Amino acid sequence: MAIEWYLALSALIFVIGAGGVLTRRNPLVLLLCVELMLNAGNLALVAFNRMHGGGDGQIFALMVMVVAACEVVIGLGIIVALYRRHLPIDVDEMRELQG
Amino acid sequence: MNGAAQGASVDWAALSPLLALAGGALVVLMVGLFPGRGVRDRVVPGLALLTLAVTAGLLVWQYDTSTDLLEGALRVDGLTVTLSFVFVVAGMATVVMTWRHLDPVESPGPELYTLLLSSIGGMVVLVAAQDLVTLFLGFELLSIPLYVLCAIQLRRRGSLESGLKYLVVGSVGSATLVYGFALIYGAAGTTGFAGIAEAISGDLSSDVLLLAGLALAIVGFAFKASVAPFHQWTPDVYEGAPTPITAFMATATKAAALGVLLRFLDVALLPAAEAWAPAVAVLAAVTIVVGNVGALGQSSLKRLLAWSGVAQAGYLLAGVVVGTSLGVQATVFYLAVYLLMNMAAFAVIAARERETNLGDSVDALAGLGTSRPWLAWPMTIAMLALAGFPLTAGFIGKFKLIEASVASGYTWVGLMIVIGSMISLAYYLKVIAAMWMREAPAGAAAVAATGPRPALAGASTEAQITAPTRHTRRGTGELTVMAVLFGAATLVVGIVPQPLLDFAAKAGEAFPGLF
Amino acid sequence: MTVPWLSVAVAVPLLGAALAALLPARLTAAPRLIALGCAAVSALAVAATWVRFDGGQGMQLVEEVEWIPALDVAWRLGVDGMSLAMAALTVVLFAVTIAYGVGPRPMTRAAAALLLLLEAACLAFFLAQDFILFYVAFDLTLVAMYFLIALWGEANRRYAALKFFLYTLIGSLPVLLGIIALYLTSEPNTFDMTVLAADPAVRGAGTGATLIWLAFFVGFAIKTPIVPFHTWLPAAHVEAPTAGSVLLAGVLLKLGTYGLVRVNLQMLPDAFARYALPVALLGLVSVVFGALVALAQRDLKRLVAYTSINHMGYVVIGVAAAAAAGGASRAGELAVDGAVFQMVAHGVVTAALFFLAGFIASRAGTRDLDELSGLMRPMPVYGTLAALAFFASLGLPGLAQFPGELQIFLGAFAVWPAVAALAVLGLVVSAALFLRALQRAFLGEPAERWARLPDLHARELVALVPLMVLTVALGVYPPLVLDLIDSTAWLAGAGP
Repeated sequence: MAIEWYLALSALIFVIGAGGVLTRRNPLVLLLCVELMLNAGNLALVAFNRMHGGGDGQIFALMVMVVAACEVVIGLGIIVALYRRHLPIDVDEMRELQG
Repeated sequence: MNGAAQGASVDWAALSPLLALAGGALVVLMVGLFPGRGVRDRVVPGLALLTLAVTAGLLVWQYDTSTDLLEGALRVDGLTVTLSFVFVVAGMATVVMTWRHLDPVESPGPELYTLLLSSIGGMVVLVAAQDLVTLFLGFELLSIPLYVLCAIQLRRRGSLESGLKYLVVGSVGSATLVYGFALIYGAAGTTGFAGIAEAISGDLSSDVLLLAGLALAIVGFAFKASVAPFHQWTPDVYEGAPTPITAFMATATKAAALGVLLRFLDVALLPAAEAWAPAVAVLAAVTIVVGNVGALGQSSLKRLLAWSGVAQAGYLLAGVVVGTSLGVQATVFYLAVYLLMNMAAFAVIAARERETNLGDSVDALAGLGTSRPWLAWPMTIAMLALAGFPLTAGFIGKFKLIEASVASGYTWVGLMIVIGSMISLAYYLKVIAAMWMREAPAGAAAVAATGPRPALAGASTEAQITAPTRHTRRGTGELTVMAVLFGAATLVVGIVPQPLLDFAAKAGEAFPGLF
Repeated sequence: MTVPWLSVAVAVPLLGAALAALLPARLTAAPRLIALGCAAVSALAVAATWVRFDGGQGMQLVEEVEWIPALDVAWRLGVDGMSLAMAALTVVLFAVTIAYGVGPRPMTRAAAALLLLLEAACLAFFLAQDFILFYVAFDLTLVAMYFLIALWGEANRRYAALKFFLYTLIGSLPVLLGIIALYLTSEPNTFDMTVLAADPAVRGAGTGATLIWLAFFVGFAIKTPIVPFHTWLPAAHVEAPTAGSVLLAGVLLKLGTYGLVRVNLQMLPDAFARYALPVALLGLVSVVFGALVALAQRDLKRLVAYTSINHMGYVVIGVAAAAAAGGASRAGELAVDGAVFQMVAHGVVTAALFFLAGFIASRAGTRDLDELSGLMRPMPVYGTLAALAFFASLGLPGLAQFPGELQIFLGAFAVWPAVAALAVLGLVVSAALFLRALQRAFLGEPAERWARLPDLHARELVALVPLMVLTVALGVYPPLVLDLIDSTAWLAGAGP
């Protein structure tokens, strides 16, 4: 299968993720959308790696996975802390998020 | 990254500053496990300071090093060393500011310093990286601890919100960066900077894949450096985060973000300069205008400095755009100077947060000229320096940036810096006027000794657990000393800039490809 | 070993300022003594420079110490005829102002420090031969003046001080841009003003040269001020303390016109020649507008402030005429010599006028010319000196402002007869307004409440009399300063 298809798919996933970040307000969903964006990058990396050979892209993708996991852990931790304090976890209701 | 790693010799000497930071982070975490308040209040911050001092010493030792490390993944050269100094000094100042700032019940001591040291380690990796993978790892090692640091006041709503917002925005930036890197890798077929530069100087400079990747990568960096239009998070996060962490983000993170832009754009992507330079120049101009206009109406000092930081990111980008050795020097010089001026200002803000119940409002500074001249003078110098007034370090810094842009044909960017400085006078002078021309509001002073800080009051039931006795140790002596030191340094560098100019010239030497 | 007199003249007030600021508060007499002593040393140093000045062209007695080698910035001082004349004006005005004092008496530490800082900055500006030093001095004058107005001015002082600061600081930023542009166009890059003036790097009047010229012009026009950049001036003058007004009008306004001659005329001659007529027209507008608005004023201080705009307008016309004719031609030389002489004369006369306004305000509690009447009767000395100053200001022959204005008219007439003729109109209006003021406030019967006003006391005479002596001396024997000014090489490679 040509590289273009992989690229198109990864671009589609990236756009879905970015669109979700822009429109959704629940932090949990936001984190999911960020995951989509990161995995779009992973897909592109692995596809290109297949094209170029070597291992660079695969290693990069592994690194990205590790980092993505870290980010989610921290994000969930903060959300739990907010939840425990009975604070709203809808970013629109957050006092200081007004630009 | 290709080739067998086995048998590779490692230049431990050049790597030593990074190892010191990593080791220090672990030691701080382990020592923090010992019980007792003495350990938490004195030993742990002391160890953090020691780690940073050792790192600084190792950097002095490696001052003239210029070598590739770990199969070309990292490069220790003038840029790495000079910017690492900036990170280390920022880290030391942050340790001093956090020492008595955070409530011990509310925020864990050792974790805080471990996170701080890890973040500094990430910054060093970031500016040393000359491979997309290492760059990304440095970027995340810098960012992830910072998310936690922003949210470290677990019982204060603003802090948590700030951390969450920074995390979401930062992750979006990282994801954009990764996607951009993936495309660049796809176009160039390698992740090493040298390989990318080689591939581009062939026939790739107009490749759609490369240009798209480049654009996405620049957007990713722009998030971190708070370059408009990706800056909206900055005022919120700066305001919500604990003041010492804000100071750290404002100075060190900015230095790291611009340092990596310097290496990424001026080494890996230099052959494609005509593709990115005009676009980045426009970003710089927009950032200058947006930042300065945004700062105009602010009454919170942290928000004001956040917007001013956006504007200053615009000034700094001018030094990146020109793609000359002069530009690199100007950027590094301004980053060092920016550290001095901002740390002086943030030390004063933190001191007033402890002394009054007005938080970081401009009102907290009213009448400071007569009541606390030792805080008022550093703040005045810092504000004048940020505005670029002569005889302060900020003047020489802006001068170098304007010189670099005019010399490379970007006169209009130089003009934008001047116009931005004009606008900025309005809000910097407002702060100075508050200190020298207004009377102190009644009852603002000396609240610190009587009760919990107002940021906590009423925030939750848990806040009331914090016993009043704890506040007796929240003096501001070390902050005054710090403000005076950084204020004096701002002045001295403004009058005798030659040593710091030589220091910045060291960074310029790191890029032999530039002229 | 030769004494570096120029550095002494600048450094002594600067060190004095630091000393005065750090003095213990209980030494109440010390600040005034330090200020007087430093002003005296500075004046002596300028006098010594005058003695050593050989009357030749070009920069002399240049003193140079490396400062920022990486940028080729140096502590570089030197004099030519114009610099020396302005430095002499500066030390005289500062000496009398410090003798008179500012703020509460005895002079506070802050007052002494600020006055000395201002003096050092003004001298550094006039003597600087390095563009960075020039710019630093230009901005430092702002800080010192800002505090002088904001601390000891009248009711609305903070607003006026801030307006003054913002206007002139915003004006100084284009100057910085211009300096950088000149630096980068010079070959090799240098901030050395002697080099840049001797062989202007920017020739012609293309877009680049025009922009650089315009950047400097806007900055200096705000400082001078030239209409329409003048709105900060009346506010600042009215709210400033007497000493502040004296120094603002006497010295600080000259920073603008000095820059116009030193940079716009000497370093960008071709661009200035091309835009000389518009500049002259702006000068003409300042002349006429200043005079007409002054005519409508009842407040003596405000009146003097607007006549300053009028008088600085003549200077601008003179410089523009020189730019159009070329400083080497007879007409051009006449015009620019006259303009610089007018700067000195206006400094002396206007300083005296602001002192006079301050003296009457401190006695009568008002400066309103409609309320005051018959002042000559209770205060004969004050009245006589005021009449003398008024006559000098309206340009009476035999007094300080006449020779300069005459030369400006003669020079401008050779270039643009119509502009010169219209500028004479301004002279007529200012004659009318001063005579009317004299007649309203000084002649006739005093009102009951003014009948017992005390005449000038010693401290006021010390401040005023030297200025009046100079007014007469400059009018009767202009070569006193004119020879000095005439020795200046206005344009590179062509002198008098």
